[in-house]
Amino acid sequence: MDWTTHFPAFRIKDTTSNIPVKLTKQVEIADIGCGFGGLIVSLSPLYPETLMLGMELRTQVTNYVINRVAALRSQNPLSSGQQTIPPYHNISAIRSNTMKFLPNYFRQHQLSKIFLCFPDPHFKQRKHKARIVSAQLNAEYAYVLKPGGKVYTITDVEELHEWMVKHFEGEEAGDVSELWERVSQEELDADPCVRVMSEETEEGKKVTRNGGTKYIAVFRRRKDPGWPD
Amino acid sequence: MTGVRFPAHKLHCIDNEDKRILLTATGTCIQSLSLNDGKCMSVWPRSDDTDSDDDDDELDGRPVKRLKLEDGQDNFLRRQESEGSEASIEIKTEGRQRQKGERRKPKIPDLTLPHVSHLVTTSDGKHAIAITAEDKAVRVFSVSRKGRLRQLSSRSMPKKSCALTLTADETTILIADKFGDVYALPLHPTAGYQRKSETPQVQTNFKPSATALTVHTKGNLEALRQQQTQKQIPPKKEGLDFEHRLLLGHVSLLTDLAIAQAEIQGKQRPFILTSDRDEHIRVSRGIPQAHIIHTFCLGHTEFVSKLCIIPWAKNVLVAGNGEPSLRVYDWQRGVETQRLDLRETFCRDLETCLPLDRSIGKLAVSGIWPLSYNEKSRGLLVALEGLSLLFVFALTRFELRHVQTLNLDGNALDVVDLREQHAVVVSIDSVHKPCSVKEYRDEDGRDVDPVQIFTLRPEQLHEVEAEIFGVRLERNANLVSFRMDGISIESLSNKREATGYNQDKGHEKMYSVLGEFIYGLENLRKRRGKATDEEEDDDNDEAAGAAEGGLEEAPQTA
Ligand SMILES: C[S@@+](CC[C@H](N)C(=O)[O-])C[C@H]1O[C@@H](n2cnc3c(N)ncnc32)[C@H](O)[C@@H]1O
Repeated sequence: MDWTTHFPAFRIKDTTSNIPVKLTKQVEIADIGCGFGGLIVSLSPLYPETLMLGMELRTQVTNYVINRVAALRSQNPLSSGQQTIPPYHNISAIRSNTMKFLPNYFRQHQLSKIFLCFPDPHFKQRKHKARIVSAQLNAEYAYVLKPGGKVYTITDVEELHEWMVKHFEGEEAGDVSELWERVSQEELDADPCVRVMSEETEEGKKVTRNGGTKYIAVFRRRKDPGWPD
Repeated sequence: MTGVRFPAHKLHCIDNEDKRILLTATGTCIQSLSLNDGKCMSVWPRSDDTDSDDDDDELDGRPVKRLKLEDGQDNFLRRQESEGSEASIEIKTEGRQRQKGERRKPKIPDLTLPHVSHLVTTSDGKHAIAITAEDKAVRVFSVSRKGRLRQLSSRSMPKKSCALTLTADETTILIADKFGDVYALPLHPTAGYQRKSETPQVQTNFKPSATALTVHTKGNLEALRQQQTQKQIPPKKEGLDFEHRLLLGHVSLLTDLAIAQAEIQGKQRPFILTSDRDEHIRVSRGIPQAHIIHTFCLGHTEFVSKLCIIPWAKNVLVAGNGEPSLRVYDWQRGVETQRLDLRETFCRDLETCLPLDRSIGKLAVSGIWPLSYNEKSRGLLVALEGLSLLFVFALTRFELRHVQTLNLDGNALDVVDLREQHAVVVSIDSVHKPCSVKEYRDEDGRDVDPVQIFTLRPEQLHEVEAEIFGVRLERNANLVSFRMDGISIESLSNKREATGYNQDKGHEKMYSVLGEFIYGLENLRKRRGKATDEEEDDDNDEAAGAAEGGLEEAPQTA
């Protein structure tokens, strides 16, 4: 995976040959099913030094985000004298089916935040295996998240909200629940990411317009337990 | 097709002091062949279930349940008799001597019987575990000294199984399925197991998951409409009525499953390795922590087809795939130490044995078998699907070296090694023409021995270069000659889709009906419409499903 094309502003330059080798930092925030990219665009100025990646299944939607980021970057160009990197150079998007390929992009314990904003509800029973949250997939989210890192979920579908809670730390999670703890309301109130994901995502805006309810749950990844005796 | 008999598509060997048996899966049957004289000792399922002549000596002191086998299991031979057709056969399996060249009509099994797809045994030789395809049943048998299989239990899994193994202590069966999940089952079903929700399901009153307020996309509206037309939420599908545990899951078809051990902080710890159609190998902790992913062994550009942990170098994993290549990993660290493009390695051999009906790019590793006779005679056998060749490799630390290619009389199917005899037993495809998975042999060609034996070449130690411990093998027809019962492949004729992987609609058929059952790896290959980046496939229906509730139009602001 060559990240230098995604985040050229963060390249380490080989001073002798000027060939970019790698990045000064790695991606730390992933927006899974990022849609049109509202979340990463709004988070970018909040954490200008943190690399964020939107991941989206649909090719056209992904291209839209890539173009959107390119436009924002050209409005906020890098200038040589500048001490800090202007916003939007720290965000990018990639087309991927994250249910299958998450571990192809991130190493163990690489991420500090994963966002699952307004995931497709897949109402039908038969389709539940297609949901982005399941006991099986949560093991993968735990793999790429560092201990202490968080998974943010938001949906306007109450049943899906309950489903996600159940599968992270409830009876449907099975043993994987030992890796997660629900983050308290006080902590959410103080977390700017929570406001961004409910107000700045395209879906979040629609729900606001329609006067719908937003259900939020955030889970902190615990440390791996020791081996059993 | 009635004259065509199943090859032994799976082999397993019990080689203890008092029990020397080669178990072979041949279609709907499991045959027990004596490793001493090659005679067919017993065939499961049997016509009679009387145990009078049997020895129940080794049943762990467990009460022998005289299970009457289910209907259809014990009618095997009776039906044939009553059929009275010219296809009916002699029923006695013992004491028969067949003259070389004399061809007997194969037995036609009860056509409703399921086909045996997987077969393993416990190391003490007391139990055999098999999976039958159509009914997805995991069957556990006791194996008597005379090779009789008695079924102790049968448990039907929810999905078609792709791989089967036992945990190191052999108390738990691990099964990987087509939906990407791995289940653990106790070797013997727990008595008195109660389903989680034994209480009759109360019909839940309809409560839509969404209200008009939450719904704002076409997909959501449609789903809601569908929900509203349902009067009640249908009662949840009933769980399995035997003890089982979901250990882990991939969102991809699983292709193989292996157990491993490694020393972690001074203690040996168990691991589970799983490979999938989407080029992944996942390394998870063993039970009860299989939800903790230890690492991944990545890098394949086609489906992974086989996993092999090297028994004498337990930190080494050799994986095969559909590129086709072999990759060697330090699996505990998830680091690839060697990549061997098999098209290059074998180009000489493939020239003389070009697949008849496939291109070289459509080959996949179908088997990797470790051989270890002593410290200096060790190696790996590797087969590519539908080729009448076996490749012998030496392994030094983390590197494979190709040392020999064996020519077989038919495509390689399965291999077991006989450690004491310094021999390997290879089952071959006696039905298809060598190097074909589609075309049957002419009648004359079918007389080849479905099981071939190779032994270590005595001079090998001198031949292998310093530092490389390897084996070289040669054909040995004298060791023992197995006399399998012929089982007709007639039973496959009505069961196409049940026995193979997904039959692909619209695609040119790769396999014959039998080929679909004993091979099938090519069905895992993705048809890439276009050259997409490294690993994505566009053509799955998940993509369509995901758009279900997705965004419809681009937002106004950019
Ligand atoms: C309802 S939209 C939400 C978009 C965005 N998060 C928001 O809040 O505005 C769900 C998105 O997830 C994407 N998606 C669904 N399954 C996916 C998968 N397996 N991998 C990546 N993206 C997926 C869909 O294509 C869709 O764009």
